[in-house]
Amino acid sequence: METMIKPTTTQYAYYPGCSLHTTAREFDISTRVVMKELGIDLQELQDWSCCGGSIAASVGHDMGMAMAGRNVALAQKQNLDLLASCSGCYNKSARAMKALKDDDEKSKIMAIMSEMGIDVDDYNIRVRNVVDVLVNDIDIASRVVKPLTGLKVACYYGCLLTRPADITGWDSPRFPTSMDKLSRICGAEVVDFQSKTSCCGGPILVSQEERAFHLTKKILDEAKSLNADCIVLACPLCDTNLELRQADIGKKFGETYNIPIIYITELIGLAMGMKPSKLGMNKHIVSVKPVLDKIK
Amino acid sequence: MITKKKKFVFGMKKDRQLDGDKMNLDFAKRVEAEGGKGSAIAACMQCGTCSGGCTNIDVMDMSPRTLILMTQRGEWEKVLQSNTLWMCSSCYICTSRCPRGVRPSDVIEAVKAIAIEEGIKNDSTKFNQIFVDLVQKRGILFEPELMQRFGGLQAMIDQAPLGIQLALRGKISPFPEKIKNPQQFSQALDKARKKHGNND
Repeated sequence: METMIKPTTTQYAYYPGCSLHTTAREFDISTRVVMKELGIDLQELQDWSCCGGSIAASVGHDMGMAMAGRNVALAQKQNLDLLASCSGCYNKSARAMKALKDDDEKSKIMAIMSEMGIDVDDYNIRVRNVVDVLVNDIDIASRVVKPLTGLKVACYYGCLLTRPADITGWDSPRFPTSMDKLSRICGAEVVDFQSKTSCCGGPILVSQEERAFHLTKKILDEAKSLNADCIVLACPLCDTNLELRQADIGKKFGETYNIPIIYITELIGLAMGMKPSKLGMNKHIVSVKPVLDKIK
Repeated sequence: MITKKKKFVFGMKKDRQLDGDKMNLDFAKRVEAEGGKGSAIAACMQCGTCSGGCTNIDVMDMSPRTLILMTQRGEWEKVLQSNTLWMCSSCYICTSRCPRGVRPSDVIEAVKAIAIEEGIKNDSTKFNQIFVDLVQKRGILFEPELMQRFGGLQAMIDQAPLGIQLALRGKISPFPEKIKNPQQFSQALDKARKKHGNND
């Protein structure tokens, strides 16, 4: 993937999703300020609803597609490309978009959506993710004023950001490099992270907690063994496992981690010389102080 | 007239192959109808690539490959009882790797919905149903309510230390958010679920 700096649009219908208004506040804050600084205008998607995550379609496929499709239809009404920062919201919206372009699927989803009072028939907008826009549309390099020299980062992609390829399609499903590239542009050192696309068990965190802990532990263990200063990611659900439950996982397995988990937008914001507090970095549960100390 | 066929030919068990006798396409068709275009079960050639990459295969009682085979064969009791459905974390590794476009993750997702419809009950089906109920209620999920409905008071107590930390950082609101017209949203989804038959 070569750098293609051709911002097709500078205005987006921004879909924060449930997490960015709650547990992932810093992702919301940093996305908004970084995008604004880069000249991109985010209009919050009006009256957005939950995309149903990885759960809704496993209770009913058409219903799940209609839940996610509703947001796509609302973005179409605003006539703006939908931009999601949460990997889950992005993935499900993109999946619904694909289904809405398939005649058989479309009629079933449309029937549910019109009961919701939404009748959009034609879709010409695109569904995009923040990482996708940052790596493909924008020249970040020219905006770096404070290179993060000496910071060792492990980029963690998880599942929904890049898989499956026919739904996302802008970075490899098995060996993605978009966040590695962005981190290097920011001046950070990127470790060779084997677990970068391993699943953290997000969707089964509550119902199969032990299993999810086991999966997340493997990711934390590798980051620790590589002496990474932090894990960089773009998914609030992965963050729930890796950061919010980090202490519980440590306790369960008799380990101490204290690995800062930061969003890619926070990393870029730092490299652009923004104050950590302006990026919402004071909201982390696992202290990010070691990261900030290292780049002083 | 159907003549009884030999079970073994040169010592090889015949039904290792997917012969027509063994197939009961009703279940496969039902899964395909539920899962939409994604679940192309018939295309599976049993190569095992899905199982080879699966994140949670070590705790599954039936590998994803076997699950597809059993679905092809119509062994739906075995499939619906399998823990594979609930151990799958929807990571899409199988779907990314499948050389035949079967999309095992979509097949599993569809079978999950059928299992709920058939009344299978466990922690995962409970969680999935509560999750959808709550999204349906306001259009936006309210996580504290999810924890309370799923795990009861004990879950609230267990999660309290984390909850307090999140609240101090303004990451939990005591008030749920909602969309403009939750009733219409809720009724539309309710109707879709009733048609589906799993609204208990």
